[in-house]
This record gives sequence, C-alpha cells and structure tokens, in this order.
Amino acid sequence: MNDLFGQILGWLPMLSRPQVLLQLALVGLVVVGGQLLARRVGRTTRHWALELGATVVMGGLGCGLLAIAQQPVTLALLLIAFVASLQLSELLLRRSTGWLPADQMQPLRYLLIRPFLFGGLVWSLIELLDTRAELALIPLGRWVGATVNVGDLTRLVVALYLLMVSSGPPSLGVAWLLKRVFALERVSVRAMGLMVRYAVITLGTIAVLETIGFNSTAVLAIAGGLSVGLGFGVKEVFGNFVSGLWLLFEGSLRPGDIVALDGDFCEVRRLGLRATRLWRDRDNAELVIPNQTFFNSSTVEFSVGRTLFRTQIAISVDESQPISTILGLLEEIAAAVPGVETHLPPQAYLQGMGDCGADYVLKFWIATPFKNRSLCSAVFQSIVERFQVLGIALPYPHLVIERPPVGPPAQPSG
Amino acid sequence: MRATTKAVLLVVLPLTLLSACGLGSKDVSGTAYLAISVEGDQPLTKAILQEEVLQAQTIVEAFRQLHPHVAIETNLFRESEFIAEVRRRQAAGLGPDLMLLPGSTAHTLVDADLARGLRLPGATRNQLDPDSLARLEITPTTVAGLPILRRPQLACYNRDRVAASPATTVALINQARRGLRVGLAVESRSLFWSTGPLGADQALIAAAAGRPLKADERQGLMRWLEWLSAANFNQQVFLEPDQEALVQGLLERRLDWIPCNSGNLSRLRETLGTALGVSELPSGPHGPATPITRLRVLAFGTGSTARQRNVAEALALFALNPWIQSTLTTNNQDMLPTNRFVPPSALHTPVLKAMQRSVEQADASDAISKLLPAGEPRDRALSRLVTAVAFGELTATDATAAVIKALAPAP
Repeated sequence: MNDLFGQILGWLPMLSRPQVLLQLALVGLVVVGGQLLARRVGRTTRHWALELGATVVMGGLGCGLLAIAQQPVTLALLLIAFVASLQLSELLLRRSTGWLPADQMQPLRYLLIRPFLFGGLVWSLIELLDTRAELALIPLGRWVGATVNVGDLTRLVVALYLLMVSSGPPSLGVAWLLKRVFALERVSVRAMGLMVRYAVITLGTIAVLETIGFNSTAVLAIAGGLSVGLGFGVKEVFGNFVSGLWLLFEGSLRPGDIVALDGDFCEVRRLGLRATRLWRDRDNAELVIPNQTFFNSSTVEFSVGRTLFRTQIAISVDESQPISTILGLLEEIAAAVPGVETHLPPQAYLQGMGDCGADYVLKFWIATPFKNRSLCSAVFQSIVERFQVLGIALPYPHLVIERPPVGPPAQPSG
Repeated sequence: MRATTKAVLLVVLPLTLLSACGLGSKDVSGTAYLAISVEGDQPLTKAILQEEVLQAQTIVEAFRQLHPHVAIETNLFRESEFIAEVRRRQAAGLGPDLMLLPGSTAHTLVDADLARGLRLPGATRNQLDPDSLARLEITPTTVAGLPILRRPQLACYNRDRVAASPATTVALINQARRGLRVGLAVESRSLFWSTGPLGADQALIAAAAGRPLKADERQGLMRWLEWLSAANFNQQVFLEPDQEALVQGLLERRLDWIPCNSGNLSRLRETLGTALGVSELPSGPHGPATPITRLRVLAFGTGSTARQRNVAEALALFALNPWIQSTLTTNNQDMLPTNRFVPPSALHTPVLKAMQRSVEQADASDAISKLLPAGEPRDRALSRLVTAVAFGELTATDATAAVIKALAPAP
C-alpha cells in the first residue's frame, strides 16, 4: 500500500512545472468564470446551459491561445472536457424530467453518469502521469491466500460495479424469457429478475476472485461467518429482505394493488426489498411499511384490475311502511347514484326491527375502495332526499322524558 | 468572503506555493521523472519490470546516498510505443525529464524535438566508449544522449543438457538433431545474429537502406531463409514468437539453448543457478555471428523545470562515473560499461568476456539497429515473412523478393 501512496505522491511535483500550472490556472478560470456568468443571469437557480456554453467558449479560447503560444494544452483540454461533460449531463438530466421517472434520476446521476465520467478522468490522468501496466503491478498485500496488486483490486472493483449497474436490464430480460417459456403466471418478472441479478452478481464476484487467485475455501468460510454475524446482528433487515423477495416471487402484492391498513385503503406504489411504499388516499400520505408486516398479519387486498368493492349502508325506516316498497325504493335510489355499478345491481335487505323502526341494509358495488366514503355519503343523501319527498319518515332515536304528574301536597293529619 | 473569491483562492494559492517550491535553491534536490523503455510487445510482468529497472534502480539508490533530497519517479513504456507516449505527455506538459532508452530511439526523439541534444564537455567525451559515442552523435559536438550501458546478445544454454554452446550454426543444427532443444524467435532483432554466419547481413542492411542488392547479397539472403526453413523442419528446433517466450522456455527447461540478451541473465541465473551457461553466438561458413548490442542511453526531456533539469543532468553524469559503472557490471554481470576507465579487473569473468567478444562481433548489427528500429512496421513485416518461410507457407525464393520489398524504406 505504501508503494501505491508513494507512486501517487510522486505525481505532485509535476505541479511545479510552469506549463502545468498555466493549464490548471486556465481550467480554474474557465470553471469560476462559467459559474460567475451563470449566477449573474439566474440568481436563484443554476443556469446549466449558460455554464456549459461559457465553459466551451472560454475553454476553447484559452486552449487556442495556449496552442498559438506553443504551450502544452492536453491536460487543460482533458480537465475542461470533464467539466463540460458534467455540465452537459446535468443539463440533459434536467431536460429529461418530463419523461424520465423522478426516482430514476438520482441513480442515473450518481451510479452511472458521474462514476463513468470520474473514472474516465482518473483513467486518462493515470495515462498521462504514470504507466497503467506498471501501476497495476504495485503489490497491496496478501489477502485470502492471494498476492493482490493494484491491478487485481481495480479489476475487482470495476467488475463489481459493472455487475451491479449493468446486470439489472439483462436480468429482467432473462426473467421475462423464463416466465414466458415456463408459463410462470403467478411469479413476478421483477422477482425473478432480482433472483437472476443476485445470481449473476454472486457468480461474477466469485469468478473475479478466482481469477485473482483468492482461496475459494477461505472465501466461502468468510461468507459463512459473515452470514451468521449479519443474521444475528441485523436480523430484522434480513427478515424484511427475505419477506420482500418472497412477496415479489409469490406475486401476492404488486404495485397498483390496494390494501386495507388499519381500516384505511392504500395503494401499493413500490415494492422494495426491505419495505413497501403505500399511498393513503385519506390524507395523501406515503407510508413505508416493513415487508414483514404483510407476513405477520392478515391483509385485505384488491389486486390490480380487480378493485370492484362491495360496500353497504344501514338505514332505519318507519316500520309502518310496506317492506317490499322500501326494499325496491332503496335499490332504485342506489342504482341511480353516479359511481354505483349498475351491471351488478344494488341489493337491499331487511335486517330486523330495531329500537326506532325497521332496520334495512343496502349493499352496492363501486369501482374502487377509494370511492367508498364519498359514494356511501352520496347514496345516503339520495335516500334521505327521496324519502322526504315521499313523506316516509326516517326514525331516529328519540329520548322521551316522561315526568309523573305533580299533585297538591298531602295535608298532614291531625 | 464570497464563494467565488474562495474558489479562486483555493485554486491559485496551492499552485503558487508549489510553483515557489520549484524555484528554490540550486543544490541537487527535488523530483525528476525517468522514463524507461521496455523491449518487446509481451505484457509487463513483475519479472520483466524488475529486469528493466534493475540497473536504473542501482544507479538511483547510489545517487540518493549522495543526494538524499532527490527523488526519481520511474515509468516504463514499451519500446514500440515509447515515442508516442513521450509525445502525448509532452503535449500535456507532463513529459519525462530523463529517458533510459535504446540509442536509435534517442536519435528519433531529438529529431522530433521531444528530447534535447547534449553538448558534452571534453572530459566526459574522453571517458566514453568511442563506438557507443559514435552511435549517438548528431554533430561532432552534440550527442542524442549519454550512453550508459551495453547489453550484448549472447547464447544462453542449460549446462545440464549441453556442456558447451555449439561454435557454429552447422554444429547447432547437428546437436539439435541429437536432441538439443534449440529455441529461435521470429523477431528480427532476436534472429539477426544468424544472418552473419550465413552471409545475409549485408543483404538485409542494403534492403533496409533502400539500396539495390548485388547478386551475392541476394544469394546470401536466400541462403539464410533456406536455413531457417530447414531448421524448423527439425523437430528439436522451436520457433517462438518473441524473445520473452525464449527466456520463459529456458526458465521452464522446455528449451536447452537460446539466443538471449545480457539483460535476461539476472532472471535466468536466479532460476537456473550454476546450470546457466553463457557464451558468444555461433559463427558460420560465411562469417561470425552478428548479434545486436542494445545500447542503453540517457536522453533528456524538453519540458523540465530548472531544478528537474539539474537533477536529471546530475544523475546522468553520476551514472557515467567509473565506480558506479564498475559496480553495475560486477554486481549483476548482465551488462557492459560504456566508460572506458572501468578497471579491466572488473571485466575478468567468463560471462563478461563472452559479452566483450559479442560486442566485438556486432559491427553489422549496429547498422541494422539504426536502419530498422524495433517496432517499425518494416520490422514487423520481416518477422511475418520469416514466420511464413519457417512454417513452409513461402518458399525461400519467393520470400527473398518479399523481404527485399518489405524492408524498402518508404519514399
């Protein structure tokens, strides 16, 4: 490791060369100048297009002047190209907010674009300052039975990064193919994709470790030890992780499904490996529910495309009214309320005689549980209004206080 | 303080300080960058790396005892990519201060303004081996670099399999028929030694110089190609793609006899120990062997600061002094010094004597080194043709014309 630090520190004296300083000063000027200009125009937000334009124009002019003065310019060009690429990527990302999902923006920025640009810059700088092949041979030590050098470590990190970043879409493709070939209707493509992805990452990592020369027995022993340690230390996380995988694999819960949680209906927005994200209609809140919740308690669920919900209201009617007339009226009134499904006609039942009158139950179908409260209210309102017109009384509990008649006070005898 | 002002200060202050550090005192201190060229196109391994930096490391370590405030950062480049690498780094202002490379490359670098010619003081000039100096002269007073060491081509063999190296090319093939496993590389620089014994050296030089070949030269070239073709028909003669493959063959005891470079000796000695035999290359009916002696030269970059130039020049002059040259020669016995004042007692070992005999043979190969630098397209074309002849894809007659055509310099 000391050799590597020594080699890297050895690059610094290059900064004592005037031609290097001149190029760095130019890059500094271009960056600061671009920012100043952009801030002057847009005071509150960064003006990426202007910043990019300023970088290209100022950088081009500066490099041109250096070239005319027969000064070295490659380092300045490389750094300016890096800055311009960053600005361009930021500009493109901001322009793509219309069609790119918001949750994809950050991974794209921090997992793909910036690591690639930064990796490219480091790679090019090493090409200018050192020899890649020579640097790769610097030993870092002996790990798990193998002598590891800088090249091995770089290969391992790059392979892992590429496996993590790029295995997603191909794994989903393989999963989709498997699902089609084996007609696995109940299993979610995403779950299979995740399984394939983890398998690819695991096998890829083992292959790279084998190439470097790591002792596979020792690697397995370490993996076993880590599994036990992690199992005890963060068992909740692992429990949720396994539950998440199981939910995905089983296909019992999918984005778009509606679940009832503590009496409230919520829509499943995203099924994560640790937790599931729900949207609650009542207060427009997003809830993050650990996946284990769906395993430890029974859940009412309406899957996507099967959200028809049968709801009901209870009502007391004057017991002197004919029962068949009331039943017919209730069904007719409910069917006329917009939002109540008519292809599945409402049904009314007499439940019994209550304290105030005859108790009826009216059951009807609505398209989604999210409309439950509003449609129940609308149906009730229609019934009350129609009964008022028809002169049918809707009894409600009355409190009648009867006071015994008060007589003259009794005359004392005697 | 505003963010912009802070940013400007953050950029400018460290640079100013570093710049000021670079313009300090005049004594020998600071960091200089040394680029070393590595022969061949094979992937860099730890062993090759150590072999190539061995002498440079010895020189630097001794120099640092004298000047402890000096640091030398080394970078290794393939010989075929060396000029392009230096050009790319110079274009960024990050070129090396000092370069350890073959003499022919030093000339090319000076011609391309990537290295500066050197005006040598009379005293220094007097110390140098005249032949080495002549190979580096640009004008009577300036040279392309300082010759530091010579690495002659030799015959390396396994003494457990053969007591002494065959003295002639005929004896070599005869011994191969009796079971000696002989390795030859199709690289022209590795194979050029065999042109002298078969009378093809002048033909190759003439073809590389673009001069028309005389009838006897053409005859010599065809004879050499026929010899190569016949040699490969022998089951015990193995044609390898490059010099490194030959070295690996001897190290792994798959081969018993190979032409080697003196630079390979440390590595071979480490593995074979006393079984390693070293001798000059076989001669033939038409003359002695024509081994190529690799002259390693220190050339100076053009983008250095005054301090870096100071360090580079001090190190180069130090590398020439008789004491360090003698130490380098006797310690590793894998090179010959370029300083004439190295005491003869330092050269009195059989290996060094074999190297001296090889250097004396190497007159013709100096010309081919200059005319056909390693890694040039013509050099690669020659290797391809030699391979085609050896494996019977081309007849020697057809190949003679093809070699002359391939070696002709571009108009």
